[in-house]
Parts: sequence; structure tokens; C-alpha cells
Amino acid sequence: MKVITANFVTCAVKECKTTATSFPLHFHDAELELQEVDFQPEFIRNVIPRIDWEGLRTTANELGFPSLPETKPEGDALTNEQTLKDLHRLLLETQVMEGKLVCGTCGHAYAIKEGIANFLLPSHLGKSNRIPIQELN
Amino acid sequence: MLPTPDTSHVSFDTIYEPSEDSYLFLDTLASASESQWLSDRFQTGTSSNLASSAVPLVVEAGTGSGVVLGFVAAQSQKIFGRQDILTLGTDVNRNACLATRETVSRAISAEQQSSDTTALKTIHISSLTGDLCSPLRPGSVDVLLFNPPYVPTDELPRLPTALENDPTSLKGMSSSARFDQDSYFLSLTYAGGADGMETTNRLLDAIPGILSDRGVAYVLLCKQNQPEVVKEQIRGWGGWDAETVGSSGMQAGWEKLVIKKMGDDDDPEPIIFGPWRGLSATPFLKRSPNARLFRGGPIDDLKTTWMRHYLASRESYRSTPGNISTHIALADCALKPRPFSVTVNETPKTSRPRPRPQPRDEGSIYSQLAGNSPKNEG
Repeated sequence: MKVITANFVTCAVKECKTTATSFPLHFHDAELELQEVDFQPEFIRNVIPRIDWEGLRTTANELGFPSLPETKPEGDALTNEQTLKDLHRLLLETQVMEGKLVCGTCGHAYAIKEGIANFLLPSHLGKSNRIPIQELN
Repeated sequence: MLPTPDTSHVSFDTIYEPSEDSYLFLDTLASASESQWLSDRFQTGTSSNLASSAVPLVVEAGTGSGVVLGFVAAQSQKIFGRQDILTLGTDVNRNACLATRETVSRAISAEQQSSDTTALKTIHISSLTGDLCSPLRPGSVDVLLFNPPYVPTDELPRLPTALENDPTSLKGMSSSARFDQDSYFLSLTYAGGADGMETTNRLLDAIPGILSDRGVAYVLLCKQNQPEVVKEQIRGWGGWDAETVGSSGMQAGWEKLVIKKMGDDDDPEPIIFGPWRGLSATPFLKRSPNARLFRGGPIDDLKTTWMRHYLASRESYRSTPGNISTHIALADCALKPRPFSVTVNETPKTSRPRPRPQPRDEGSIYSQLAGNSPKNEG
């Protein structure tokens, strides 16, 4: 999963979604991999409006990236190629292959394996008590 | 002619194989009227406003093979009028997530390598194992796509747990346990519970919360899902409208629906529509001794592009019934009120592939088909 994903996901537990601490989920033991993507300044410029900046700053910090500016780049800052390149590398080129995403509210850890994060809940959290189809026969 | 994403790397043991309904979904998204509407909504350059040029996040819930999301990613210029979208897929089956990641990446790079395309920048940001939109942040989704498990069944299969999707849990599993698990995951691709709507209803409930201000959702339904009732329910939310936008005009039982959110102005907001899926039994049928009846034949040979596939299959219904009349049998099944539960207590007329209990639905379709298309034997 690309790092930008962390800006669009939250805890799968319904009760957590309304709490401020369920976003962003916190990376633990993250193993990163770089996958080069052509740098397209206008693309990253169009990505920035979609970003929750505070959330991204937290994520970048947890992954050991250099600190991002305190405020979201706007206006002239969007023409600064270095800023755009840094964001391009963090958001689109960096992939989290292994590790966990942990909810700051309930503490549930979502495992990431081979780049696929698993947001399915254990049954006591998911309230899923349906019977498997093959057991109905 | 738009190319169908390559899914040759996908194993369909636990994943829904792209079928007629998948292609109808693509057909509708790429239709002139729908792509025009989406382009007006999402293309860049119409305004200097940053928010309007922001890349859309396109999410598919229940991606399966990833054929729909791959198509949308590769054809973002045609569908959304822009070269840059972000795609994200969810599926309760980890195998489907792995398959989707590969399908979408392949579709994007195939499009980038085709000579007549300007630089496609679309990026697949992740495939997440999860239930529908449950991992997603409220208000984050610009375009939501859903081709549901819509077949009415007596019971809805439970959701898998995180553990069942742990790749290490498969090690040491007996072949019989593995078969059961595969069948269970396949049941999740089609079994929709009461009216085939239990899963879809959960998704619909999430739509107002999950869509962004410019969000739009596309959901596919079948006739047995009672689209008229669904539309009324959505109108009952307040501020939302629903309408049927057209009919595919092919097999009886297929039609398209649009559901819109009412805006402050006349500009219609989120849309949900569906060409109606009739038949999702294919994965199970592949397991039957008669599997060859559902494979091969003109449809597979023509699967070079979805349009040819689609048109050819329509043509074939008329011109070569002997080759693919099993598909007609399936379509007929789809017209019956509860096609997958009518023979629950009946012994299938043909021998089962394995002498163990099978999901009941396999037996029911199986026996119906055996009865409906005897001329296809051999």
C-alpha cells in the first residue's frame, strides 16, 4: 500500500470513526519499499488538495520522513519543485509492505502483509455472528 | 474499442470470474452519457479552483479479480475526462486484493504503453482486505463502485475474520478443508441473503457518510433485488433521488437504474445505477463435472475486448444456441423468483464432484441446469 492510503483510511470499528484519535491510524514496525513513479508536478499538485495535512504530518513523522512544512503548501509553494518532489516520494513512491496500522482510540492493530492491509475485525469487534453457509447443509 | 483488463494471472478458485455482469458494468461506465456526466463532474481545467481539480479517489468495494477497477483506472481519460485518478479497492478475500493489485497495475501499464495515449498518471494506491467501505474515512470517496453479491439466498454467509485471510493459516490445511474454505469465499461473491440485498443494503447505508461532497456511487442490482423498492428507500433518506436510466435491451431481467442525490441547484449529485446482474453461479459451476459446458465455446474465444465479448455473446445467443445454451439456461434461472434456493432439499440429478456436503446453491443451480439444457451434454 502506498503511504497516501493512510490519509484515506480509519479504524474499521464503527464506534471509533467518530473519535478524533482514530485518524490517522498509526504505523508500527513499518517496512518500506520504494517503487519509482514518474514525477508529474501537476499530478502531485492535484493530489495535495485531497490531503489532510495534519494527518500526513503524523504519518510522515512515524515513518521517519523529514518533517513536512507546518501548513499545507498553497499558492507559490505549489511551484516549488523540491516540495512537490518530496511529497511525490512520500505519497506515491513509498509503499508500506509489512507492519501494522494501529487505532489511537481502541488500540486495534491492523496487520499489513505483502503490502495488503487487513481491516477485517475479529468477531468480537465486528459483531458478525452469522453461520457459515457450508454449516447450514 | 476499449481493452478489457488482463486477468490471466487470477486464479478463480475463490474469486468471481469476470462475467456478463462485469462487462455490463464496464459498458455502462464507458457509455457516452455516463462518461460525459462524469467528465463534467471531475475533469480538470473547467475551473481554476483547486478543489475542483483535485484528483478523484475512485473506490471499488468487493473488487474480485479487479477487472472493473482496472478498466476504470486505465480508461480514466475516457470515463472521467482526466489522466489522473487514484484508485483503491477493498475485498473481504485477501486473494482478491492481491489479484486486484496486479490487474489494475497491468491495466495501467498496458494503457501507458499503448502508442496513442498521452501520459496516464493514474495510480492504484492500495487494495485493502476489509468489509465494503469499513476501512475508509468518512467523506473521502469521490466515486464508489459496487458489483454486489446480489443473488437471493436463504442465508447470508458470515464475514471472514482477519485470521482466515492470514496467508499462514492456509499452511497445513487439508485439501478438503481448503475446498470448503474456497467454496465459502466463492459464496461471498454471490450470496446476497434476503432479496439478494443484505450486503447491498449495508453498502447503501454507508453511502451518505462515505461519499465526498462531489461523490457518486454506482451499484449494480438485479431484478430480484426489487430496484423499484430500493429507489423508494433511497428517496426516503431525504435529499436523495433515484431513477432508472435505461435498459440494456438484452436478456429479460436486465435493466439499469440511477439514484441521485438532490443538490441545492439543478445539477444532479451522486448517482447509483446498475445494469442488472442475473447470474453469478459460474464459479460454482466450474466445479461441476459438467464444467466444460460453461467454459470454452465462442465466448472464451472472443474474450479479446469486452465489447466484442459482449456483442458476440449476444449474437451467439441467437445464432449458436447449441454452443452456449447453458448461458440461456442461466438467464432463465435468473428470472425465477428465488433461483438458488428452489431445490434446497432435493438431491441433484447429476453426480456431485465430491461425495461431501456442498453449498446448497451449487446443487440447486446445477440440477436446474442439468434439467434445462440436456442437449448440451457432450
